[in-house]
Amino acid sequence: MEATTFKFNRPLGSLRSSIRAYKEYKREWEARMVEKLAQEEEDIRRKRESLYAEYE
Amino acid sequence: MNSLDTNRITQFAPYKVWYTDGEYRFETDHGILYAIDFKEEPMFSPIPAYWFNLMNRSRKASPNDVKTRATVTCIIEEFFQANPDILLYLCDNANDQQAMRSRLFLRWFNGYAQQENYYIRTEKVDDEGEENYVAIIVSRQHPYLTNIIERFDTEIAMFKSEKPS
Repeated sequence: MEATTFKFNRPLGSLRSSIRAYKEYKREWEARMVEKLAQEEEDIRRKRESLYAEYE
Repeated sequence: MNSLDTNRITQFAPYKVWYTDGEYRFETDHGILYAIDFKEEPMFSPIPAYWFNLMNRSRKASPNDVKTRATVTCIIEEFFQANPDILLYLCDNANDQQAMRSRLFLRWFNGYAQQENYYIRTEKVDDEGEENYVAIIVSRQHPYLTNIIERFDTEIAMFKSEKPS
């Protein structure tokens, strides 16, 4: 297809909102990751405490 | 998006790559866990486009590691094998290091053996005082490459001329 005949579906001028939406997505992704890491650390701490308790 | 073949990636990448929880992950010799995902971006519709999202999951300082670079480029290569589409990259603005990250990403990609097969460009745009470095990567074989570049150029020009809302 020739370059001149191709039509994009979206109106022009959406880069700013796209960047903002992507940054919001990334912030949420990071927040979920931090929460998950904290949970994993808490699980490890509990397992370790439980092992020490059994040993004692 | 078509999923990536992690076996094929691992065949060529220095680090083993696996898929879990919607992410492609790998762990470095330094014990740093990286995650990569791809978020669909409708800006170029009907041509599919995706944001390339790279995250240091361990949140530890990452030393310069050629194996990390090689693994990331293998993942990008596999992305284009499975999805002959558009890849976008926005440099993380953590610690105001966007410019450095932009250069690093370009250096990584330009050091990649197959990079001549791809069109890549980075632009800086400011949004409410915050610098954003946006990179676009498209296969030079893409049938609509000219349209995509024109669209990207126009979007960048409009962004720079607009006042933020």
